Amino acid sequence: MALVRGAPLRGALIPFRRRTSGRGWTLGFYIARRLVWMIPVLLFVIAITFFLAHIAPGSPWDKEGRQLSAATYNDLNVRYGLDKPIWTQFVFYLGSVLHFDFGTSYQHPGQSVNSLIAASWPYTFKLGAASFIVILLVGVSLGVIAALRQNSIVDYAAVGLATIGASVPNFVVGIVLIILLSNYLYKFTNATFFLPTGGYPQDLLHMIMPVATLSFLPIAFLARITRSSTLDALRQDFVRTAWAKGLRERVVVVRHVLKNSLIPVVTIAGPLFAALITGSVIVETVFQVPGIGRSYVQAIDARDYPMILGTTVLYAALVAVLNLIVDVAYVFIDPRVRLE
Amino acid sequence: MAAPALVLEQVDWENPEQIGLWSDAWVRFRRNRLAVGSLAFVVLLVTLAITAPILEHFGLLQDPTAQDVINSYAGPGTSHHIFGTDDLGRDVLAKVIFGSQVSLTIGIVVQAIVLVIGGTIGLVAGYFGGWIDNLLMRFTDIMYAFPDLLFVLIIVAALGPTLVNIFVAIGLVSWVGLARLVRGQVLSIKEKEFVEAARAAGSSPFKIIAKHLLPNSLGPVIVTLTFGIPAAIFTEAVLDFLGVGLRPPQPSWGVMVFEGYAAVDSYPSLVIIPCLALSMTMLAFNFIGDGLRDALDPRMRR
Repeated sequence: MALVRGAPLRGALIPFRRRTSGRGWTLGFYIARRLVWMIPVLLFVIAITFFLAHIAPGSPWDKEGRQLSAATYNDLNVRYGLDKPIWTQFVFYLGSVLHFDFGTSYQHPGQSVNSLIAASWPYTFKLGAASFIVILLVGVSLGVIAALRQNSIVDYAAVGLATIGASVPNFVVGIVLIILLSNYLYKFTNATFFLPTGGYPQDLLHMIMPVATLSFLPIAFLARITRSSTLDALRQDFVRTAWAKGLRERVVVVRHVLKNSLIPVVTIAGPLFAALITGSVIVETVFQVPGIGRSYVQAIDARDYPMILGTTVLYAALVAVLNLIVDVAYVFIDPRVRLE
Repeated sequence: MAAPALVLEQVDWENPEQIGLWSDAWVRFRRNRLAVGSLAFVVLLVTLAITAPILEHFGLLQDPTAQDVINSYAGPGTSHHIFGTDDLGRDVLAKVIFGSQVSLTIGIVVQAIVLVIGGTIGLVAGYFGGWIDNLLMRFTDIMYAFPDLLFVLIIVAALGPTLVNIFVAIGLVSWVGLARLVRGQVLSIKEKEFVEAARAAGSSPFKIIAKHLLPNSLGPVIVTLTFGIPAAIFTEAVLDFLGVGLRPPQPSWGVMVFEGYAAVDSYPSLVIIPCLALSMTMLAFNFIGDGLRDALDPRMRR
C-alpha cells in the first residue's frame, strides 16, 4: 500500500514521551490564551452592566415613605462618589475591582459587597451543590436505563418526563410543590419555607422542595441527552465486540458504553454547575431563600449599583472559568478532541 | 443540500411527481400527532387572543380589569365566572385570555428580533469570513458570557418595565445561539458546488445570500426560532413574577402568578390557572418544535 504523505506512519515513529510533552505545551498555551481572553470579556461585562445600571431611572436613595431634601440627595451622592462624571466613576470602579474590592452596598450602608455576597453565598451554594448531585444521579441513570430498555415503559416514562420537564416553568414546579407538599412536609417543623438554621436533619428536610424545583428541568434535559448518547454508544462496533466476547451486561454497560455516552454530560455539567452555584433567582424567590439570586433582585429594585455589578461580575467570571475547565477536561476524557 | 429523502409510501410511483422540501416536511409533520394537536391548540389560542376584544364587546367575555369586590375570591365553577374571580373580583377567565395576548406577542416579537440580529450577524460572519467573522464571533462570545436572566433584569430595570422594553431586553439576550447556528450553516453550504457555480456565473454576494444561503439554512433556523418562543414566554413570565416586569393592572400570566402567590395557601386556583395556561402553551410550542425538527432537519431523518 502506498504511503500517502506518510500520515499513518508518523504517529508510530515519534516516541511516546515526545508526543505527550508536545500536548502539554499546547494545553498550557491554550489555557493561557483562554485566560487572557477572559480579560476583555469581563471588561465588557462590567462596562455594559455599569452603564445600564447607572442609566436606570430612579436613585439608590429613593425609598418608599421617605422624603429627602435636595441637599441630602447631594450629600449622599458626594459620599458615594456618584456626583463625579460617570467615566471617572467607571475608571475608579475598574481600579477597585482589580483589587477584588467591589465597593460598599447602598442598601446596607457600611457593609461591603464582598461580605454581603459571602453571607448569602453559602445558602445558594448548598442548594446548588445538592441539586447538582441529584441532577447527575437521577438524570444520568434515567437516561441510561431508558436507552438500555428502549421502548419499554421506563423509556416512555423517561421521555415523557423529559418533555414535560422541559416545558414547565421553574416557578410553576416550585409553586405546585408548595401547594401539594408544604402542609405535609413541614407539619413537624416550625418554618413554613426553606430557611436553613444549621441543624443537620432539619436543613435536609427544608432543602427537599427547593432542590426538587431546581433539579426538575435539568434532570429532564440531562436524561434526554444521556438517552440519545447512550443509544449512539450502544450502536458502536466496539460495543458489539464486547457483547460478542460474552461479557456480562453490567461490564459492557459500565466499561464500554458509559465511558462514551457520558462525554456530552461533561459538556453540560460545567455550565449547569455554574448556573446552580450562582443561584436560581426564581427558586430563591419562590422559597424565600436568602441567597445570591434573591439579593440580586433586591439590589436591582433598590438600584444598589455595587451589589448589582459585584454579582454580575462574579457570575460571568465563574461561568468563564468553569467553561474553561470543561473544555480542558474534554481533552482528557475524549482523546479524539483537539484543541484549536 | 442533499435531496430530501422521500416518504416512500406517499410517492405515487405510477405518476412520479416532484415533492418539494416543504410539502415533504408537511407530510412528515402531519404524521406527528402531538405536534398537530399542539398546532391546533396554538391556533385556537391565537384566535382567542386576537378576538378577545371582540368577544368582550359582545359580552361573551368580561373586562379583565373590571373590579367587583363584593364577589372577590369566587372559586372556579361559579356562575358568570367559570375560572372564578381574584382578590378584587376580576374575572379570571378574562384575565387568562387577555393575558395570552402578552405571552404570544412576546414569543413572536422576540423571535423576530432574534432572527434579525442573530440571522444578520451569522450570515455576514459566515459568508464574508476573515476579520469580519473574527470580530463578530468574538462579540458573540462576549454576549454569551453574560448571565442571561441577570442581563434581562438589568436591561428591563434600565429601560423601564413596559412591554416594548421587555421585547428588546429578551431579544438582545437571545440571539447568540441563532447567530452561531446560521454561521455554521452558511460555512457548510458556502462550499457546496451550486454556490460556487453561482459565484462563477457572476452573482453578487447579496444575491447569493438571498437566493442560496438563506433558503438552504431555513430549516434549522425555523426549528431554533420555534424553540425560542417558549423560552421567551418563560422569561417574560419570570420577570412579571419577580415583580420586575409588567405591573398588576395589566393582565398577563406572569402578573397573575405574582398576584396570586401572596395567597397561594388559601386560594391556590388563582395561581394554578395561569400556571397551567403557561405550561400548556410552552409545552405546545415545544411539541411543535419537535415535530418541525423531525420534519425539516435532514440530519434527524431516519
